[in-house]
Amino acid sequence: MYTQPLNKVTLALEQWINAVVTSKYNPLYYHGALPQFFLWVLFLSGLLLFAYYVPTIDNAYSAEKLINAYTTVEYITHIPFGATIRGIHRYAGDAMVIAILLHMLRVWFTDRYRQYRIVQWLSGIVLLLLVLFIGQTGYYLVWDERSLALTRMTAKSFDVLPIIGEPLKWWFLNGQEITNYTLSNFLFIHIGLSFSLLFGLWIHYVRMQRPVLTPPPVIQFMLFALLSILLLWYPVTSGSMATLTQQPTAFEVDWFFLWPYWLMTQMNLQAYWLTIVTGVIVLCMLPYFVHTKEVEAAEVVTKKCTGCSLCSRDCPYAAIEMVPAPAGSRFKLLATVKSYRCSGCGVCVGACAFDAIDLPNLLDTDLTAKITASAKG
Amino acid sequence: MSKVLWAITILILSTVCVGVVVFMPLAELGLLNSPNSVPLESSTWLQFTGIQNLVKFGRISLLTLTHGMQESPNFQYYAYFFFLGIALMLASVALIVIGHEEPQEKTVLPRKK
Amino acid sequence: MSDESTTKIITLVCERSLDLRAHVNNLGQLKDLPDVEIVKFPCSGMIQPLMVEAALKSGASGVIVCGCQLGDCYYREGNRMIRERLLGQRPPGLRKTVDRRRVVALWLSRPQAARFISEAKEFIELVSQLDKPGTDVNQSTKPSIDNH
Repeated sequence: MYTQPLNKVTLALEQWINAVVTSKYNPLYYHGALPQFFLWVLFLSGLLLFAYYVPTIDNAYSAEKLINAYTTVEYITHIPFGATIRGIHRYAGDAMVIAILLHMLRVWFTDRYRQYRIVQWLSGIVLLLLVLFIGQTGYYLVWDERSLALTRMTAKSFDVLPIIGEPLKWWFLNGQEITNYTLSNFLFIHIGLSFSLLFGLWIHYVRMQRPVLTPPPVIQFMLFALLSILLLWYPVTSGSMATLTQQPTAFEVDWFFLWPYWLMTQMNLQAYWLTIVTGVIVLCMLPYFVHTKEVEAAEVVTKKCTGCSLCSRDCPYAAIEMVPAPAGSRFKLLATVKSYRCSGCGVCVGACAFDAIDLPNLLDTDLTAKITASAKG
Repeated sequence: MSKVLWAITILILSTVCVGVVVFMPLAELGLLNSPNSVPLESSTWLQFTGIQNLVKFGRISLLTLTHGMQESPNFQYYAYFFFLGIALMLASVALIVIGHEEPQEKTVLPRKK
Repeated sequence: MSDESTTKIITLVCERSLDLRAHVNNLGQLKDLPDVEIVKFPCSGMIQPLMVEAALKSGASGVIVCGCQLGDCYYREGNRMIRERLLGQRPPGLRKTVDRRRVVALWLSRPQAARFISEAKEFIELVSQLDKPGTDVNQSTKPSIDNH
């Protein structure tokens, strides 16, 4: 598996980056932490935007002083640093999608997505779909012509779904048609689902000891610097305000979030849903296409285990649990292996000074004997 | 020899960092938009002409780079973030240079305490 | 192997890091440097400090531990673990009596076999310097006297 060409390409690329910045600062070694970093940037900038946002489609107060979603976004754009915070929020979202794709490709290329990592892979797919949907709701919130077009396209696409289509549309629009409630629903989805990302991330991380959540400061600086410099070249824009009586026909497409809408324009809606669902299923099935022999989980030698919990602390997959030792034991605790989590890497063997844990297919006593034999020559 | 080079590198990098940090509040105040309003000549305790030229240079190059942006009322805020980005870039390059010393591919065990 | 080779080096290597297949003979020795014996592990994290001690005690002049590039362990943390164990930052560590000069750790990725061979040559050089004063190889594992 680790000799596959894709892995070689990845290694060659990383080798090259290592030569420039050393492995300590290689962003590819923090690929999982990059989306997480952008998530914090999005949370912070989103909080600032939320302070000004009024989620209504029409005049909330009086006809002369129009205050609605669109005008609040306009207002934000004109206050000091408002436009830049908007830009950061938008481009951090794009960057997050790029980072997630990078993360996904790297774990795929280096064969780190199967077997004992299946929970991470599946929860990762759910997280990716969530992020895409949250990003799309972000585009609805601006409430310019594009938002209106996107909202209508989404509602229309729900129409073709059997059984769940109607309730989904009702939930999406928060009623039969686009009203003020629709936008408050969009705001809720945008923010509420963002927080549910944290729950998804917990599942994503739960099978890992010490997940790498933050890239080193150098990489954080670099990423934020790239965002800030990008702002100047591509300042965020919005179209003219949405008017419910008109149907906008063309709009700019953000290729990271809005590609499904491009897809919708290329085929009929049944085919669109078929493509999306098939794509997700293929992604979910990807780990099962490759056949490899099963992992042989580490085994604890119950008689030798002293309950020191070193193996449990060092296991990268949180696969060793310390349980109370059986009655009659001299020690308080006993290590037990959750075999469904075990990767068979043997870090626990390296952690054990009492020879009390073994990989059944590769005994450390055999290895030591081999080492001693070669040393004696 | 290498230590002298090292010191010079650090000195240059830190000067650049400080320079950029000085730039940032200028951008924030919107002074990059109108360098003439920067009260540089009035300062008696330091000759600022060099910095003023730098400000002018920065403004002109920014405007050339971002054709059309000068119309935006938010130009100074974008400029602020631009310089913030440059500063962060330089800071990270400096950190990489400093952190580079540690060997990453070889670990020699330390001998006794 | 033969009597004149006093600098026997044991290399404990993660099978996912270096690709030494082109450089190793049937006996598990490097073709260019037959004094270097290769023992493969599924992950460098599996290497016990006890194994390093065992190698030195049974007559090896030095031990090279080799894992993937730091930050790129297939099993997430194995190379960091063995690094910290060798440095005494994570239990279990090496015994105090082990001569630290005779152990070196390299963190190299698959295509870096050439780098490994040059490092190994350098290490052999260094270790053979250590071997010179004493005639008995086993003495080298107890260098605590000259360290005080």
